[in-house]
Amino acid sequence: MDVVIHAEALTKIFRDFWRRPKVRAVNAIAFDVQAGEVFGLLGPNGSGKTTTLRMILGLLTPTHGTLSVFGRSPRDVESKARIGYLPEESCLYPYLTAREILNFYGRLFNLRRAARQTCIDQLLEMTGLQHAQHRPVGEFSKGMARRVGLAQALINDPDLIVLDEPTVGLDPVGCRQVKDLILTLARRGKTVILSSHLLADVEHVCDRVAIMGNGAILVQGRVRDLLEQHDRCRLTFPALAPDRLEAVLQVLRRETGADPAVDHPTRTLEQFFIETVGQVRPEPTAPTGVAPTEGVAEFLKSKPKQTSTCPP
Amino acid sequence: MKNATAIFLLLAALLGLWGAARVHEQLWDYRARHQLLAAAPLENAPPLMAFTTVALGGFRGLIADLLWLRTIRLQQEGRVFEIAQLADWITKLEPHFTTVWAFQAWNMAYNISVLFPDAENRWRWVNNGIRLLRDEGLRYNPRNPNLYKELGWLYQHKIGYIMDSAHPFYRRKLAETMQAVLHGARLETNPKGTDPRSPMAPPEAGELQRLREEFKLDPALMRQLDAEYGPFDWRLPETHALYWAWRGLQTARDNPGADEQTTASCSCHPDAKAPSALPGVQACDQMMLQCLAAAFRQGRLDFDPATDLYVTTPRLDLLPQVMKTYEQAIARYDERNLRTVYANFLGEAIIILHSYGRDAQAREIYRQALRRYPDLDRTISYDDFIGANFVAMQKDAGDLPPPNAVAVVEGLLFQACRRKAAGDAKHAAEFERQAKAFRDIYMQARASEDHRLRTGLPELDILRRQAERRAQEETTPDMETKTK
Amino acid sequence: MLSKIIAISGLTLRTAMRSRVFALLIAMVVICIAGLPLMIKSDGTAAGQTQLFIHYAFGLTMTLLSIAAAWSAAGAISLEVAGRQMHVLVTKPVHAAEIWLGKWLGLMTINLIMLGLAGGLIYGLLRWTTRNAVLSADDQVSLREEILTAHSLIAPEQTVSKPAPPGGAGQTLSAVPPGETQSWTFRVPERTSPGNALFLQFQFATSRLERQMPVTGLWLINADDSTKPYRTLGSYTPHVGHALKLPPVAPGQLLTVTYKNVETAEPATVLFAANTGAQLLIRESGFESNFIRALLLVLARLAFFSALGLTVGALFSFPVAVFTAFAFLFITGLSGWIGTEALMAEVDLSPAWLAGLLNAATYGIIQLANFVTPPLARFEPLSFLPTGAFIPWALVGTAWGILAIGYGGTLAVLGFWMFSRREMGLAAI
Repeated sequence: MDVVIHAEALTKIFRDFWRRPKVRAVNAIAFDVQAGEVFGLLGPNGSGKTTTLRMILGLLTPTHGTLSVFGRSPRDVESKARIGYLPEESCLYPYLTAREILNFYGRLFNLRRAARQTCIDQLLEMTGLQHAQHRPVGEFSKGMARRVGLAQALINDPDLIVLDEPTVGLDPVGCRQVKDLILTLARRGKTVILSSHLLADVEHVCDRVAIMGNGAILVQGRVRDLLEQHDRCRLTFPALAPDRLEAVLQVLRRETGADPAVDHPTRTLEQFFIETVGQVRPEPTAPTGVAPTEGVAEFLKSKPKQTSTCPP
Repeated sequence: MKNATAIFLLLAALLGLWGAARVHEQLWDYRARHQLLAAAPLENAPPLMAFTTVALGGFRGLIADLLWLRTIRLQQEGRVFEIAQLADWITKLEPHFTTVWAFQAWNMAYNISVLFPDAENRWRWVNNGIRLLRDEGLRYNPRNPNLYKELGWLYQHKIGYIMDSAHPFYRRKLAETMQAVLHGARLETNPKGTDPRSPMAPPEAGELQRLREEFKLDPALMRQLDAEYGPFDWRLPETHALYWAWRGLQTARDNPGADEQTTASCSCHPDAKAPSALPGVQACDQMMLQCLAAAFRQGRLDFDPATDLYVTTPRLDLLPQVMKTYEQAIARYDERNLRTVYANFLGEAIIILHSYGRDAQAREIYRQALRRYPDLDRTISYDDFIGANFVAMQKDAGDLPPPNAVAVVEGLLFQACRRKAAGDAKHAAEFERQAKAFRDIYMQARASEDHRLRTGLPELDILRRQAERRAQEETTPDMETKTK
Repeated sequence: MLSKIIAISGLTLRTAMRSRVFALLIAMVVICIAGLPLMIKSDGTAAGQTQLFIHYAFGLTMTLLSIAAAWSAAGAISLEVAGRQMHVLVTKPVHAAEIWLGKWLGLMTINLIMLGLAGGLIYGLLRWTTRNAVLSADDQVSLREEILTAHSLIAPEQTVSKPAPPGGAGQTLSAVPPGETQSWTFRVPERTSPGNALFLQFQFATSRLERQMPVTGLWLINADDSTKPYRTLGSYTPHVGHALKLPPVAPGQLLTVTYKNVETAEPATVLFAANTGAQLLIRESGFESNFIRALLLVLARLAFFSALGLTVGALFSFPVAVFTAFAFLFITGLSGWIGTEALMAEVDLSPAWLAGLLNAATYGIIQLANFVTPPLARFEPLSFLPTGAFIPWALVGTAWGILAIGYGGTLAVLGFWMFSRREMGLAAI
């Protein structure tokens, strides 16, 4: 497997006006992100997640250590054509409309006009912003602006997608869509690196995670490996009558020597919310807000490991 | 509900604003009472200007300096089209700085005007200077006698005096303008047609308004000045200077202490004897005396724009009033310098009266002079005095100031007329000869065209006509009383 | 590369056009220029009023647009850095140079729009205030010939004094004693249109102590194809520029101009500056084309200010960038003065070595300031337009070469370099 991001002894020290070290935000971390992998950076606020992402994007220069993206310096302009970035806060031009913003970023990737318009249409459809595409984004809600940010990150069908707190500001439906999108992109062989402190998000979509604290990686590995309790088992079966359940428990007590815990499995609140909201179909063209959408943009669903339908 | 809240808030804001304004007024009064104001608030200023001067605070001096530097540079480069605007800004940035007003007005009237070769353009700049003081300076400083004096100075010296070769043009322009407005030499009180001797109709309402608004002359005050000291010919620059000096005195009398509050007056005049070195009130007084003396010397104007005739001759009837005013001033100030000036004036008056053959009146004045000035040589009789001074003056006619020279020539011609009328052809011819000889000596001393232009005398024929008319008037007592 | 630059400039333009600040700026320019004729106080002549209006309207436009250019340029990058839009932009495949150039191009388009608007308004108002219904025919002619035109000065080919001056060549003044003459020979350029009036512009000093006392002089003007010379006698004030309207002369003709110092009762020697004492004033072009060249001079200046703003904005946060840009503008505005008067000023204190040291240091600093600031005074349209002086295309070219390409280019390179090295992810400096 190809290594997309390679970090070794990566350190970032912030200095004051007199160049004196002030904060050691990232302290000698090392990690690799493989192609097609969804990699999560977890950690509390101030743990160094965003600094790490910014170094990957070339927004910050490492103080020490090695960092390469697609085998090149993070500041290399050519390799940026293969990157999509969703910042933590939506940093959009408030006087421009959603379509204008996407069009502008599309032009920076030298996308041809027709292809660009197709991509923009699909992304607007995907993010549910078609009806609001001609409104200045300065008037958008946080969630809507976030969706525009997501759309611009994907306009070039990037090979590496950097998502800083991707679900912040989104409603549960939006969160779910983002997570679905990440999984779809991963299936297509795209590499995703995301930072989040919402552990459920990471757990569902990430192949591997690194947990950071005080600028260092405390632990990293595959999610399943980290979370699986090998010394315990869970059985799921249809509900039984009390006497028959007691018989099964008797067998288990005998075999394990311990008292097994029995309860009814629950759906996640997210699952429940989506099912509930899904039953109430709003009007097809909502005057404001986000229109309900399903799935992801067509050009993002094309065959894995191929160049995008919106070639540069 | 939303609207009601908005209205309530608006009303509350207005109430707050009103309250703040009331408090502000009190604060302002308090500061003024305790002399905590760097600059007194502007009177009669438009809101924008009042705001600018307050908002700029101490920086306005800096900006005024920069604009002043620019004025100097532009002037040196001969690019004067911007000067009036710069002067306007500078003075408005420092609206209470009398020196600034005086300097800017003086600069336009004196320095910039002479940059132009033609009289028309010069006159425009003299007017720009006058307008700056009269229309703006006095508007913002109505209680400052210094500014009245400075304005009077422009009329008295720039237009009235011989410094500028274009001064005859200025005098004519002023006379033309005033004649058009007044329909004559002064504001006539008799309504149109009621007095058969009045050749012209009095000014109409529109013209009176023009007097007030354009020339800032108050008809009531003009009449008052005429009644107290005159009457005067309002086409003459000296009358305007007199009016403004008199207004300055009135202002100072109505607002005691205003003179001390003003800043130092201008010392920019080239003439060291300019009244500007004195405090405003005294300078106004001095200007009044000078203008009254000038009215005696040259207060009678024969002006005809059609033929370009402009001759000024003495107003002998004004002498008692001039003397009275001098004596009042001497009593008020008790200054040696003023007494000397008065003595010189009396000497001048004696010579002029003698020229017109009014020896009885001249003799009386000579007697008064001897009484008033104990250090004069009492052994010299009136006849000796005339003999010495008149003969000497005839020899050095070239050194005489133009109004005095005109007076002497016209006086001699006047006597010639009288003698001729009395059938004394021999003496009449002698006076004629003397007048001509005097004029010739005077004009010979003026070799250059520029000198002649500035200080030359009218032709002998013109002066003879003046003398004839005067002789005619004196034989018709009504005419004499009419001028009063 | 070009398409990215155009995309960024389009974005800059679009953002600016939709912001309230832009609308406010337009309103301010329109109100200021339109209200100017009501506020200015001229010397009372039509010519003075027109000159003052051109001077102030142009000056006001230049000041407002220069401030707006420096301000908006300072914010174009720094505000996007602060608003994090730049974080996204630099993660796209664009070079720092492309961002800088795109922004500059966008700002220049705005400058062009604003300048076109202001220029159109000034021109329209100028035509309106000098229309036939308002001014007399004489005023119209004098305006057309003296101010609403573009004329240049032609130096004499030869100067002949009688008697010959004792000093010989290299003199800066030529003296004409009373009764003597001085002649100048001018070649009327082929480019002059036969229908246009020619003027002789002259200025002199006299040997008198009274600076302003006029002298009488006789001018004899003789073209080589005419037999009868044109004569005019006049009284002229020293130290003041005079313009004498000459009879029509065919292009290419040799014109001999002679001044005779007429002997009067108060004679004075007249002194002419050797090169500029008498010059021929010819019409080079119409006012409109001169006006456009003046606008282009302003645009060159705006190009520099935009470059300056962008570069400091690429390095600093918005307030710091604005302060730096304005400080530089201020120093630049004073550069004319710095280059001349400030160099002459000297500190006088004891000990002498300290005074010498201080003077040397001050001199060095002033020279440096003079060197790093662009020579704006050289390309000042206000020195030309209000007086009807011709602005040559060469001057416009030089202005663009020095201000836009020279200084602007240097700033651009500095801007690319600093911007590419800047860590966007850091909190604003």
